[in-house]
Amino acid sequence: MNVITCYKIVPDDQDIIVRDDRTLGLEKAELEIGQYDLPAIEAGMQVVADAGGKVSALSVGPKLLENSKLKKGVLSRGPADLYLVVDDSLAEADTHQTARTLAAAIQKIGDADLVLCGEGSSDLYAQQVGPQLGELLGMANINAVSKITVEGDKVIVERTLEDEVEVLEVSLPAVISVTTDIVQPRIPSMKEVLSAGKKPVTQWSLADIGLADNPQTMETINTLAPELAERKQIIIEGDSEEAVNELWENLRQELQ
Amino acid sequence: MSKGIWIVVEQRNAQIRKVSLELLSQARLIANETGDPLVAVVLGQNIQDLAQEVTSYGADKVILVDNEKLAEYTTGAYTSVLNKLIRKEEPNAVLIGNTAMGKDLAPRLAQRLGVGLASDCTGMEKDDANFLTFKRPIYGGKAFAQVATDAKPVMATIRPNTFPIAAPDAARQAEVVTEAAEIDQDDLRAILKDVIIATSERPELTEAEIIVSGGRAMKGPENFPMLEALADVVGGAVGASRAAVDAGWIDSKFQVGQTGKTVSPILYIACGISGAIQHLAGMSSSKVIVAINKDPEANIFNVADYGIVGDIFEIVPLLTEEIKKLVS
Repeated sequence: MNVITCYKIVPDDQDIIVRDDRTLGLEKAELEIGQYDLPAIEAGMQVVADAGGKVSALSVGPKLLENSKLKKGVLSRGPADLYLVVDDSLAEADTHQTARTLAAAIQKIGDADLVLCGEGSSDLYAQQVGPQLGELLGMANINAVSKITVEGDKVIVERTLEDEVEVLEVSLPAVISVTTDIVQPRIPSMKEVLSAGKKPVTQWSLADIGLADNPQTMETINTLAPELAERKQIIIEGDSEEAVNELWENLRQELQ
Repeated sequence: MSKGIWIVVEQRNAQIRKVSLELLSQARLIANETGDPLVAVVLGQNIQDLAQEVTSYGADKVILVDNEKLAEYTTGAYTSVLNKLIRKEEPNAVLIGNTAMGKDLAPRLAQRLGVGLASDCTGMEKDDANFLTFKRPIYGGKAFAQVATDAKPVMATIRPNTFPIAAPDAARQAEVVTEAAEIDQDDLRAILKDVIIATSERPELTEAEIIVSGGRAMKGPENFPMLEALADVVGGAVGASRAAVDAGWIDSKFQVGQTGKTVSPILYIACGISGAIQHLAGMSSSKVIVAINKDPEANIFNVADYGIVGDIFEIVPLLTEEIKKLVS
Protein backbone atom coordinates (compact mmCIF):
# COMPACT_ATOMS: atom_id res chain seq x y z
CA MET A 1 0.00 0.00 0.00
CA ASN A 2 1.56 3.26 -1.17
CA VAL A 3 0.06 6.18 0.72
CA ILE A 4 0.77 9.81 -0.16
CA THR A 5 -0.31 12.42 2.40
CA CYS A 6 -0.49 16.02 1.26
CA TYR A 7 0.13 18.92 3.60
CA LYS A 8 0.43 22.70 3.48
CA ILE A 9 2.77 25.03 5.33
CA VAL A 10 0.73 27.90 6.77
CA PRO A 11 1.23 30.91 9.05
CA ASP A 12 0.13 30.34 12.65
CA ASP A 13 -3.01 32.47 12.62
CA GLN A 14 -2.64 33.37 16.29
CA ASP A 15 0.33 35.55 15.28
CA ILE A 16 -1.45 37.33 12.42
CA ILE A 17 -1.92 40.99 13.19
CA VAL A 18 -4.92 43.04 12.07
CA ARG A 19 -3.73 46.55 11.17
CA ASP A 20 -5.82 49.70 11.69
CA ASP A 21 -6.82 49.72 8.02
CA ARG A 22 -8.16 46.14 8.47
CA THR A 23 -5.38 44.62 6.37
CA LEU A 24 -3.44 41.68 7.83
CA GLY A 25 0.18 41.60 8.96
CA LEU A 26 1.69 38.13 8.55
CA GLU A 27 5.31 39.10 9.21
CA LYS A 28 5.40 37.83 12.79
CA ALA A 29 3.46 34.65 12.10
CA GLU A 30 5.51 31.48 12.57
CA LEU A 31 5.18 28.86 9.88
CA GLU A 32 3.68 25.51 10.81
CA ILE A 33 2.19 22.37 9.29
CA GLY A 34 -1.53 22.90 8.73
CA GLN A 35 -3.49 21.72 11.76
CA TYR A 36 -5.93 19.80 9.54
CA ASP A 37 -3.01 18.04 7.82
CA LEU A 38 -1.45 16.51 10.94
CA PRO A 39 -4.37 14.05 11.44
CA ALA A 40 -4.09 13.10 7.73
CA ILE A 41 -0.41 12.21 8.20
CA GLU A 42 -1.23 10.16 11.30
CA ALA A 43 -4.15 8.45 9.52
CA GLY A 44 -1.70 7.44 6.78
CA MET A 45 0.64 5.95 9.39
CA GLN A 46 -2.28 3.96 10.82
CA VAL A 47 -3.21 2.60 7.39
CA VAL A 48 0.30 1.25 6.74
CA ALA A 49 0.57 -0.06 10.29
CA ASP A 50 -2.50 -2.21 9.51
CA ALA A 51 -2.03 -3.02 5.83
CA GLY A 52 1.72 -2.66 5.29
CA GLY A 53 3.38 -0.34 2.80
CA LYS A 54 4.75 3.14 3.21
CA VAL A 55 3.69 6.73 3.63
CA SER A 56 5.23 9.50 1.56
CA ALA A 57 4.61 13.14 2.43
CA LEU A 58 4.07 15.73 -0.30
CA SER A 59 3.79 19.50 -0.29
CA VAL A 60 3.85 22.19 -2.96
CA GLY A 61 4.57 25.86 -2.36
CA PRO A 62 7.13 28.66 -2.32
CA LYS A 63 10.76 28.42 -1.20
CA LEU A 64 9.86 28.50 2.48
CA LEU A 65 9.04 24.77 2.17
CA GLU A 66 12.79 24.16 2.17
CA ASN A 67 13.04 25.21 5.84
CA SER A 68 14.77 22.23 7.49
CA LYS A 69 12.78 22.49 10.71
CA LEU A 70 9.52 22.22 8.75
CA LYS A 71 10.84 19.26 6.72
CA LYS A 72 11.88 17.48 9.90
CA GLY A 73 8.53 18.40 11.43
CA VAL A 74 6.75 16.35 8.78
CA LEU A 75 9.19 13.44 8.62
CA SER A 76 9.33 13.07 12.42
CA ARG A 77 5.63 12.25 12.30
CA GLY A 78 6.30 9.03 10.49
CA PRO A 79 6.46 9.35 6.67
CA ALA A 80 9.31 7.37 5.07
CA ASP A 81 10.19 10.09 2.58
CA LEU A 82 9.23 13.58 1.50
CA TYR A 83 8.52 15.16 -1.90
CA LEU A 84 8.42 18.92 -2.43
CA VAL A 85 7.51 20.96 -5.49
CA VAL A 86 9.00 24.40 -4.91
CA ASP A 87 8.26 27.53 -6.90
CA ASP A 88 7.65 31.02 -5.56
CA SER A 89 4.71 31.43 -7.95
CA LEU A 90 2.86 28.93 -5.73
CA ALA A 91 2.79 31.35 -2.77
CA GLU A 92 -0.56 32.75 -3.93
CA ALA A 93 -1.81 29.58 -5.63
CA ASP A 94 -5.56 29.06 -5.73
CA THR A 95 -7.00 25.60 -5.09
CA HIS A 96 -6.99 24.74 -8.78
CA GLN A 97 -3.29 25.53 -9.14
CA THR A 98 -2.46 23.69 -5.92
CA ALA A 99 -4.43 20.62 -7.00
CA ARG A 100 -2.88 20.54 -10.46
CA THR A 101 0.62 20.81 -8.98
CA LEU A 102 -0.08 18.07 -6.42
CA ALA A 103 -1.62 15.84 -9.12
CA ALA A 104 1.39 16.21 -11.40
CA ALA A 105 3.72 15.38 -8.50
CA ILE A 106 1.62 12.36 -7.45
CA GLN A 107 1.77 11.05 -11.02
CA LYS A 108 5.54 11.54 -11.09
CA ILE A 109 5.96 9.73 -7.75
CA GLY A 110 3.80 6.98 -9.26
CA ASP A 111 1.90 3.93 -7.95
CA ALA A 112 -0.17 5.75 -5.33
CA ASP A 113 -2.90 3.54 -3.85
CA LEU A 114 -4.26 6.08 -1.43
CA VAL A 115 -3.89 9.87 -1.36
CA LEU A 116 -4.79 11.52 1.95
CA CYS A 117 -5.61 15.17 2.59
CA GLY A 118 -6.83 17.14 5.60
CA GLU A 119 -10.34 18.51 5.33
CA GLY A 120 -8.96 21.94 4.41
CA SER A 121 -5.91 24.16 4.79
CA SER A 122 -5.79 26.10 8.03
CA ASP A 123 -5.17 29.40 6.22
CA LEU A 124 -7.65 29.57 3.32
CA TYR A 125 -9.79 26.55 4.29
CA ALA A 126 -11.36 26.20 0.85
CA GLN A 127 -11.76 22.40 1.40
CA GLN A 128 -11.46 21.86 -2.34
CA VAL A 129 -8.13 20.23 -3.07
CA GLY A 130 -9.10 16.64 -2.13
CA PRO A 131 -12.08 16.39 -4.53
CA GLN A 132 -10.12 18.30 -7.22
CA LEU A 133 -7.29 15.80 -6.91
CA GLY A 134 -9.76 12.95 -7.30
CA GLU A 135 -10.96 14.46 -10.57
CA LEU A 136 -7.46 15.24 -11.90
CA LEU A 137 -6.10 11.79 -11.03
CA GLY A 138 -9.22 9.97 -12.21
CA MET A 139 -9.68 8.44 -8.74
CA ALA A 140 -12.67 8.27 -6.44
CA ASN A 141 -12.72 11.02 -3.81
CA ILE A 142 -14.45 10.90 -0.47
CA ASN A 143 -14.49 13.78 2.01
CA ALA A 144 -15.37 14.07 5.72
CA VAL A 145 -13.88 10.64 6.45
CA SER A 146 -13.54 9.78 10.14
CA LYS A 147 -12.46 6.12 9.84
CA ILE A 148 -10.50 4.09 7.26
CA THR A 149 -10.27 0.28 7.22
CA VAL A 150 -8.29 -1.46 4.46
CA GLU A 151 -9.85 -4.59 2.92
CA GLY A 152 -7.71 -5.93 0.09
CA ASP A 153 -7.81 -3.54 -2.85
CA LYS A 154 -10.66 -1.57 -1.27
CA VAL A 155 -11.09 0.60 1.79
CA ILE A 156 -14.16 0.82 3.98
CA VAL A 157 -14.61 4.36 5.22
CA GLU A 158 -16.98 6.15 7.54
CA ARG A 159 -18.10 9.51 6.22
CA THR A 160 -19.58 11.90 8.78
CA LEU A 161 -22.44 13.94 7.33
CA GLU A 162 -24.59 16.53 9.08
CA ASP A 163 -26.78 14.04 10.89
CA GLU A 164 -25.68 10.60 9.83
CA VAL A 165 -22.61 8.51 9.19
CA GLU A 166 -22.26 6.74 5.85
CA VAL A 167 -20.25 3.55 5.53
CA LEU A 168 -18.77 3.40 2.04
CA GLU A 169 -16.74 0.81 0.18
CA VAL A 170 -14.23 2.63 -2.01
CA SER A 171 -12.12 1.03 -4.72
CA LEU A 172 -8.45 1.97 -4.68
CA PRO A 173 -6.75 4.09 -5.80
CA ALA A 174 -8.69 6.89 -4.11
CA VAL A 175 -8.30 10.36 -2.62
CA ILE A 176 -9.64 10.65 0.91
CA SER A 177 -10.02 13.86 2.92
CA VAL A 178 -10.09 13.11 6.64
CA THR A 179 -11.68 14.95 9.55
CA THR A 180 -9.58 16.16 12.49
CA ASP A 181 -11.09 13.56 14.82
CA ILE A 182 -9.98 10.56 12.73
CA VAL A 183 -6.94 10.12 14.97
CA GLN A 184 -4.95 12.17 17.45
CA PRO A 185 -1.69 13.26 15.76
CA ARG A 186 1.43 12.10 17.54
CA ILE A 187 3.92 14.28 19.36
CA PRO A 188 7.21 13.09 17.84
CA SER A 189 9.70 11.45 20.19
CA MET A 190 13.31 12.61 20.35
CA LYS A 191 14.28 9.49 18.38
CA GLU A 192 11.75 10.30 15.66
CA VAL A 193 13.04 13.87 15.41
CA LEU A 194 16.65 12.69 15.13
CA SER A 195 15.93 10.06 12.49
CA ALA A 196 13.80 12.52 10.48
CA GLY A 197 16.94 14.32 9.32
CA LYS A 198 18.21 11.13 7.66
CA LYS A 199 15.09 10.42 5.58
CA PRO A 200 15.19 11.11 1.82
CA VAL A 201 13.79 14.40 0.50
CA THR A 202 13.14 14.86 -3.23
CA GLN A 203 12.70 18.39 -4.47
CA TRP A 204 11.25 19.25 -7.87
CA SER A 205 10.61 22.42 -9.85
CA LEU A 206 7.43 22.99 -11.86
CA ALA A 207 9.42 22.08 -14.99
CA ASP A 208 10.48 18.77 -13.37
CA ILE A 209 6.83 17.74 -13.06
CA GLY A 210 5.96 19.04 -16.53
CA LEU A 211 3.66 21.82 -15.38
CA ALA A 212 4.42 24.87 -17.50
CA ASP A 213 0.94 26.30 -17.86
CA ASN A 214 -1.10 26.49 -14.69
CA PRO A 215 -3.54 29.41 -14.73
CA GLN A 216 -5.46 30.81 -11.80
CA THR A 217 -9.24 30.24 -11.72
CA MET A 218 -10.29 32.52 -8.86
CA GLU A 219 -9.21 36.09 -8.36
CA THR A 220 -8.97 37.57 -4.87
CA ILE A 221 -10.16 41.17 -5.07
CA ASN A 222 -9.29 42.06 -1.49
CA THR A 223 -8.61 40.57 1.93
CA LEU A 224 -9.78 42.53 4.93
CA ALA A 225 -10.50 41.84 8.57
CA PRO A 226 -14.22 42.12 9.30
CA GLU A 227 -15.53 45.34 10.72
CA LEU A 228 -16.05 44.46 14.33
CA ALA A 229 -19.64 43.52 14.91
CA GLU A 230 -21.14 45.97 17.34
CA ARG A 231 -21.82 43.86 20.38
CA LYS A 232 -24.07 45.28 23.07
CA GLN A 233 -21.79 44.20 25.92
CA ILE A 234 -24.50 44.26 28.54
CA ILE A 235 -22.95 42.43 31.47
CA ILE A 236 -25.08 41.30 34.40
CA GLU A 237 -23.40 40.37 37.67
CA GLY A 238 -24.33 37.35 39.77
CA ASP A 239 -26.22 34.09 39.49
CA SER A 240 -29.41 35.05 41.35
CA GLU A 241 -32.88 34.49 39.96
CA GLU A 242 -33.16 38.26 39.41
CA ALA A 243 -30.00 38.26 37.29
CA VAL A 244 -31.29 35.37 35.17
CA ASN A 245 -34.66 37.09 34.76
CA GLU A 246 -32.93 40.22 33.58
CA LEU A 247 -30.96 38.21 31.02
CA TRP A 248 -34.07 36.42 29.80
CA GLU A 249 -36.06 39.66 29.47
CA ASN A 250 -33.29 41.06 27.27
CA LEU A 251 -33.14 37.89 25.15
CA ARG A 252 -36.91 37.81 24.69
CA GLN A 253 -36.81 41.28 23.22
CA GLU A 254 -33.94 40.30 20.93
CA LEU A 255 -35.70 37.21 19.64
CA GLN A 256 -39.03 38.88 18.93
CA MET B 1 -29.21 36.24 -23.38
CA SER B 2 -29.65 35.26 -19.82
CA LYS B 3 -28.88 31.66 -19.14
CA GLY B 4 -29.93 31.32 -15.59
CA ILE B 5 -28.81 30.98 -12.01
CA TRP B 6 -28.88 27.35 -10.94
CA ILE B 7 -29.34 26.12 -7.39
CA VAL B 8 -28.36 22.48 -6.85
CA VAL B 9 -31.02 21.50 -4.32
CA GLU B 10 -29.86 19.03 -1.67
CA GLN B 11 -32.43 16.53 -0.47
CA ARG B 12 -32.35 13.38 1.60
CA ASN B 13 -35.32 11.01 1.50
CA ALA B 14 -37.27 13.78 -0.27
CA GLN B 15 -36.57 16.24 2.56
CA ILE B 16 -34.99 19.45 1.23
CA ARG B 17 -32.09 20.76 3.26
CA LYS B 18 -32.64 24.23 4.70
CA VAL B 19 -29.59 25.74 3.01
CA SER B 20 -31.09 25.00 -0.42
CA LEU B 21 -34.15 27.11 0.44
CA GLU B 22 -31.84 29.87 1.72
CA LEU B 23 -30.02 29.85 -1.62
CA LEU B 24 -33.26 29.90 -3.63
CA SER B 25 -34.51 32.84 -1.55
CA GLN B 26 -31.34 34.91 -1.97
CA ALA B 27 -30.75 33.99 -5.61
CA ARG B 28 -34.35 35.03 -6.35
CA LEU B 29 -33.42 38.59 -5.34
CA ILE B 30 -30.32 38.53 -7.55
CA ALA B 31 -32.18 36.97 -10.48
CA ASN B 32 -34.74 39.77 -10.29
CA GLU B 33 -31.91 42.23 -10.92
CA THR B 34 -30.02 40.31 -13.59
CA GLY B 35 -33.07 39.01 -15.43
CA ASP B 36 -31.77 35.44 -15.24
CA PRO B 37 -34.27 32.64 -14.78
CA LEU B 38 -33.80 30.94 -11.39
CA VAL B 39 -33.46 27.19 -11.90
CA ALA B 40 -33.72 24.58 -9.14
CA VAL B 41 -31.93 21.34 -10.02
CA VAL B 42 -33.00 18.35 -7.94
CA LEU B 43 -31.27 14.97 -8.13
CA GLY B 44 -32.53 11.87 -6.35
CA GLN B 45 -35.15 9.15 -6.45
CA ASN B 46 -38.92 9.75 -6.10
CA ILE B 47 -38.42 13.51 -6.00
CA GLN B 48 -41.28 14.57 -8.30
CA ASP B 49 -43.18 16.05 -5.37
CA LEU B 50 -40.34 18.44 -4.56
CA ALA B 51 -40.92 20.51 -7.72
CA GLN B 52 -43.80 22.41 -6.14
CA GLU B 53 -41.83 23.14 -2.98
CA VAL B 54 -38.78 24.61 -4.77
CA THR B 55 -41.12 26.58 -7.04
CA SER B 56 -42.82 28.15 -4.03
CA TYR B 57 -39.41 29.45 -2.89
CA GLY B 58 -38.80 31.28 -6.15
CA ALA B 59 -37.74 28.91 -8.94
CA ASP B 60 -38.77 29.81 -12.51
CA LYS B 61 -37.80 26.40 -13.75
CA VAL B 62 -37.22 23.03 -12.07
CA ILE B 63 -34.96 20.35 -13.51
CA LEU B 64 -35.63 16.93 -11.98
CA VAL B 65 -33.26 14.02 -12.45
CA ASP B 66 -35.05 11.05 -10.92
CA ASN B 67 -33.09 7.80 -10.92
CA GLU B 68 -32.52 4.94 -8.48
CA LYS B 69 -28.76 5.40 -8.89
CA LEU B 70 -29.13 8.93 -7.50
CA ALA B 71 -31.12 7.86 -4.42
CA GLU B 72 -28.01 8.29 -2.26
CA TYR B 73 -25.36 10.89 -3.01
CA THR B 74 -22.20 9.59 -4.63
CA THR B 75 -19.53 11.90 -5.99
CA GLY B 76 -19.21 10.10 -9.31
CA ALA B 77 -22.88 9.88 -10.28
CA TYR B 78 -23.81 13.40 -9.16
CA THR B 79 -20.74 14.96 -10.84
CA SER B 80 -21.45 13.08 -14.05
CA VAL B 81 -25.12 14.12 -14.25
CA LEU B 82 -24.54 17.77 -13.35
CA ASN B 83 -21.52 18.15 -15.64
CA LYS B 84 -23.58 16.99 -18.62
CA LEU B 85 -26.55 19.22 -17.74
CA ILE B 86 -24.39 22.31 -17.18
CA ARG B 87 -22.51 21.80 -20.45
CA LYS B 88 -25.82 21.50 -22.28
CA GLU B 89 -27.59 24.49 -20.72
CA GLU B 90 -24.60 26.76 -19.95
CA PRO B 91 -25.98 28.62 -16.91
CA ASN B 92 -24.33 31.83 -15.69
CA ALA B 93 -23.99 30.58 -12.12
CA VAL B 94 -24.24 27.33 -10.15
CA LEU B 95 -24.76 27.63 -6.39
CA ILE B 96 -24.59 24.77 -3.88
CA GLY B 97 -24.88 24.63 -0.08
CA ASN B 98 -21.58 24.26 1.77
CA THR B 99 -22.66 20.98 3.35
CA ALA B 100 -20.84 17.64 3.47
CA MET B 101 -22.34 16.89 0.06
CA GLY B 102 -21.66 20.34 -1.41
CA LYS B 103 -18.05 20.27 -0.20
CA ASP B 104 -17.52 16.92 -1.91
CA LEU B 105 -19.41 17.61 -5.12
CA ALA B 106 -18.65 21.23 -6.00
CA PRO B 107 -14.82 21.10 -6.30
CA ARG B 108 -14.92 17.95 -8.42
CA LEU B 109 -17.63 19.39 -10.65
CA ALA B 110 -15.79 22.72 -11.01
CA GLN B 111 -12.62 20.87 -11.93
CA ARG B 112 -14.45 18.81 -14.57
CA LEU B 113 -15.99 21.98 -15.99
CA GLY B 114 -12.61 23.72 -15.88
CA VAL B 115 -13.83 26.66 -13.79
CA GLY B 116 -12.98 28.09 -10.37
CA LEU B 117 -15.05 27.68 -7.23
CA ALA B 118 -15.63 30.09 -4.37
CA SER B 119 -16.15 27.75 -1.42
CA ASP B 120 -17.58 28.19 2.07
CA CYS B 121 -18.91 31.66 1.25
CA THR B 122 -20.70 33.88 3.77
CA GLY B 123 -21.67 36.61 1.31
CA MET B 124 -22.78 36.93 -2.31
CA GLU B 125 -23.40 40.07 -4.35
CA LYS B 126 -24.31 40.94 -7.89
CA ASP B 127 -21.34 42.38 -9.73
CA ASP B 128 -21.30 44.11 -13.11
CA ALA B 129 -17.87 42.86 -14.16
CA ASN B 130 -17.97 39.28 -12.85
CA PHE B 131 -21.72 38.57 -12.55
CA LEU B 132 -21.31 37.67 -8.86
CA THR B 133 -18.68 38.26 -6.19
CA PHE B 134 -18.39 36.28 -3.00
CA LYS B 135 -17.08 36.85 0.50
CA ARG B 136 -15.41 33.96 2.33
CA PRO B 137 -13.63 33.75 5.70
CA ILE B 138 -9.90 32.96 5.79
CA TYR B 139 -7.32 32.56 8.58
CA GLY B 140 -9.93 31.12 10.93
CA GLY B 141 -12.32 34.02 10.44
CA LYS B 142 -9.68 36.68 11.10
CA ALA B 143 -10.29 38.13 7.66
CA PHE B 144 -12.64 37.85 4.71
CA ALA B 145 -11.50 37.54 1.12
CA GLN B 146 -13.64 38.92 -1.66
CA VAL B 147 -13.29 36.62 -4.65
CA ALA B 148 -14.54 36.50 -8.21
CA THR B 149 -13.98 34.78 -11.53
CA ASP B 150 -14.67 35.89 -15.07
CA ALA B 151 -15.31 32.33 -16.30
CA LYS B 152 -18.80 30.86 -16.62
CA PRO B 153 -20.51 29.32 -14.90
CA VAL B 154 -19.60 31.18 -11.74
CA MET B 155 -19.59 28.47 -9.05
CA ALA B 156 -19.87 28.80 -5.29
CA THR B 157 -20.78 26.89 -2.18
CA ILE B 158 -22.57 28.97 0.46
CA ARG B 159 -22.44 28.32 4.20
CA PRO B 160 -25.77 27.36 5.84
CA ASN B 161 -27.60 30.12 7.78
CA THR B 162 -25.99 32.85 5.64
CA PHE B 163 -29.24 34.02 4.04
CA PRO B 164 -32.80 34.16 5.40
CA ILE B 165 -35.52 31.98 3.87
CA ALA B 166 -38.27 33.97 2.15
CA ALA B 167 -41.95 33.19 2.73
CA PRO B 168 -43.04 30.51 0.22
CA ASP B 169 -45.63 31.41 -2.42
CA ALA B 170 -47.80 28.32 -2.99
CA ALA B 171 -49.46 29.87 -6.04
CA ARG B 172 -46.18 30.30 -7.92
CA GLN B 173 -45.82 28.35 -11.18
CA ALA B 174 -42.67 27.04 -12.81
CA GLU B 175 -41.71 25.02 -15.85
CA VAL B 176 -40.83 21.48 -14.68
CA VAL B 177 -38.43 19.47 -16.82
CA THR B 178 -37.44 15.85 -16.22
CA GLU B 179 -33.99 14.94 -17.50
CA ALA B 180 -32.59 11.45 -17.87
CA ALA B 181 -29.63 10.52 -15.68
CA GLU B 182 -26.61 9.66 -17.78
CA ILE B 183 -24.39 7.75 -15.40
CA ASP B 184 -21.36 5.85 -16.61
CA GLN B 185 -20.63 2.61 -14.78
CA ASP B 186 -17.21 4.04 -14.05
CA ASP B 187 -18.87 6.81 -12.05
CA LEU B 188 -19.88 4.44 -9.26
CA ARG B 189 -16.58 3.66 -7.62
CA ALA B 190 -17.80 4.31 -4.11
CA ILE B 191 -20.57 2.02 -2.94
CA LEU B 192 -22.76 2.94 -0.01
CA LYS B 193 -22.87 0.01 2.41
CA ASP B 194 -24.68 1.39 5.39
CA VAL B 195 -26.05 4.57 6.91
CA ILE B 196 -25.88 5.09 10.64
CA ILE B 197 -28.50 7.66 11.55
CA ALA B 198 -27.81 9.80 14.55
CA THR B 199 -30.82 9.50 16.83
CA SER B 200 -30.78 13.10 18.03
CA GLU B 201 -34.08 14.96 17.86
CA ARG B 202 -32.21 18.25 18.08
CA PRO B 203 -31.44 20.37 15.01
CA GLU B 204 -28.12 19.93 13.26
CA LEU B 205 -25.49 22.38 14.54
CA THR B 206 -24.88 24.38 11.35
CA GLU B 207 -28.62 24.74 10.72
CA ALA B 208 -29.74 25.43 14.30
CA GLU B 209 -31.22 28.83 15.12
CA ILE B 210 -30.23 28.55 18.77
CA ILE B 211 -27.10 26.84 20.11
CA VAL B 212 -26.24 26.16 23.74
CA SER B 213 -22.52 25.43 24.00
CA GLY B 214 -20.39 24.19 26.87
CA GLY B 215 -16.69 24.60 27.60
CA ARG B 216 -14.06 23.63 30.11
CA ALA B 217 -16.06 24.93 33.08
CA MET B 218 -18.68 22.24 32.41
CA LYS B 219 -16.28 20.07 34.47
CA GLY B 220 -17.43 16.71 33.09
CA PRO B 221 -19.72 14.78 30.74
CA GLU B 222 -22.28 14.31 33.53
CA ASN B 223 -23.12 18.02 33.31
CA PHE B 224 -23.99 18.18 29.61
CA PRO B 225 -27.62 17.04 30.16
CA MET B 226 -28.04 20.44 31.84
CA LEU B 227 -27.22 22.12 28.49
CA GLU B 228 -29.41 19.66 26.60
CA ALA B 229 -32.34 20.60 28.85
CA LEU B 230 -31.86 24.28 28.01
CA ALA B 231 -31.41 23.51 24.31
CA ASP B 232 -34.61 21.45 24.30
CA VAL B 233 -36.83 24.13 25.81
CA VAL B 234 -35.75 26.56 23.07
CA GLY B 235 -35.60 23.98 20.25
CA GLY B 236 -31.87 24.45 19.93
CA ALA B 237 -28.74 22.37 19.39
CA VAL B 238 -25.93 21.58 21.83
CA GLY B 239 -22.37 22.55 20.98
CA ALA B 240 -19.01 22.46 22.73
CA SER B 241 -15.63 24.11 22.76
CA ARG B 242 -12.50 22.22 21.81
CA ALA B 243 -11.53 22.01 25.49
CA ALA B 244 -14.68 20.01 26.28
CA VAL B 245 -14.17 17.75 23.25
CA ASP B 246 -10.49 17.16 23.96
CA ALA B 247 -11.37 16.25 27.54
CA GLY B 248 -13.61 13.52 26.09
CA TRP B 249 -16.81 14.90 27.62
CA ILE B 250 -18.68 15.18 24.33
CA ASP B 251 -18.28 13.82 20.80
CA SER B 252 -16.19 15.89 18.39
CA LYS B 253 -19.13 16.30 16.02
CA PHE B 254 -20.46 18.87 18.49
CA GLN B 255 -17.30 20.97 18.39
CA VAL B 256 -17.72 24.61 17.40
CA GLY B 257 -14.62 26.45 16.29
CA GLN B 258 -11.79 26.47 13.84
CA THR B 259 -11.25 22.72 13.74
CA GLY B 260 -14.93 22.02 14.33
CA LYS B 261 -18.16 23.38 12.93
CA THR B 262 -18.67 26.98 11.92
CA VAL B 263 -22.07 28.20 12.98
CA SER B 264 -24.18 31.35 12.51
CA PRO B 265 -27.26 30.89 14.71
CA ILE B 266 -29.62 33.67 15.74
CA LEU B 267 -28.68 33.04 19.39
CA TYR B 268 -25.46 31.48 20.71
CA ILE B 269 -25.27 30.80 24.44
CA ALA B 270 -21.69 30.11 25.56
CA CYS B 271 -21.66 28.35 28.95
CA GLY B 272 -18.32 28.20 30.74
CA ILE B 273 -16.40 28.91 27.53
CA SER B 274 -13.37 31.15 27.93
CA GLY B 275 -13.45 32.43 24.35
CA ALA B 276 -10.20 31.23 22.76
CA ILE B 277 -9.65 32.67 19.29
CA GLN B 278 -10.18 29.23 17.71
CA HIS B 279 -13.62 29.05 19.29
CA LEU B 280 -14.57 32.59 18.27
CA ALA B 281 -13.64 31.73 14.68
CA GLY B 282 -16.49 29.22 14.66
CA MET B 283 -19.27 31.32 16.17
CA SER B 284 -18.49 35.04 15.87
CA SER B 285 -21.00 35.52 13.06
CA SER B 286 -23.85 34.54 15.43
CA LYS B 287 -26.47 37.26 15.56
CA VAL B 288 -26.75 37.46 19.35
CA ILE B 289 -24.07 36.06 21.65
CA VAL B 290 -24.68 35.35 25.32
CA ALA B 291 -21.79 34.50 27.62
CA ILE B 292 -22.24 32.79 30.97
CA ASN B 293 -18.98 32.53 32.88
CA LYS B 294 -17.73 32.81 36.45
CA ASP B 295 -14.58 34.67 35.35
CA PRO B 296 -15.37 38.34 34.62
CA GLU B 297 -12.08 38.59 32.69
CA ALA B 298 -12.97 35.77 30.27
CA ASN B 299 -12.41 36.79 26.65
CA ILE B 300 -15.88 35.56 25.67
CA PHE B 301 -17.38 38.66 27.33
CA ASN B 302 -15.57 40.86 24.79
CA VAL B 303 -17.66 39.45 21.95
CA ALA B 304 -20.91 39.03 23.89
CA ASP B 305 -24.09 41.04 23.50
CA TYR B 306 -25.18 39.83 26.91
CA GLY B 307 -23.01 38.46 29.62
CA ILE B 308 -23.80 37.09 33.01
CA VAL B 309 -20.98 36.72 35.47
CA GLY B 310 -21.77 33.79 37.72
CA ASP B 311 -21.95 30.05 38.22
CA ILE B 312 -23.22 28.16 35.14
CA PHE B 313 -24.56 25.42 37.42
CA GLU B 314 -26.91 27.98 39.02
CA ILE B 315 -27.70 30.09 35.98
CA VAL B 316 -28.39 27.46 33.29
CA PRO B 317 -31.05 25.54 35.30
CA LEU B 318 -32.66 28.83 36.39
CA LEU B 319 -32.80 30.03 32.80
CA THR B 320 -34.25 26.70 31.65
CA GLU B 321 -36.97 26.89 34.33
CA GLU B 322 -37.75 30.49 33.44
CA ILE B 323 -38.26 29.65 29.76
CA LYS B 324 -40.26 26.51 30.60
CA LYS B 325 -42.69 28.61 32.64
CA LEU B 326 -43.23 30.89 29.69
CA VAL B 327 -43.70 28.13 27.18
CA SER B 328 -46.30 26.28 29.29
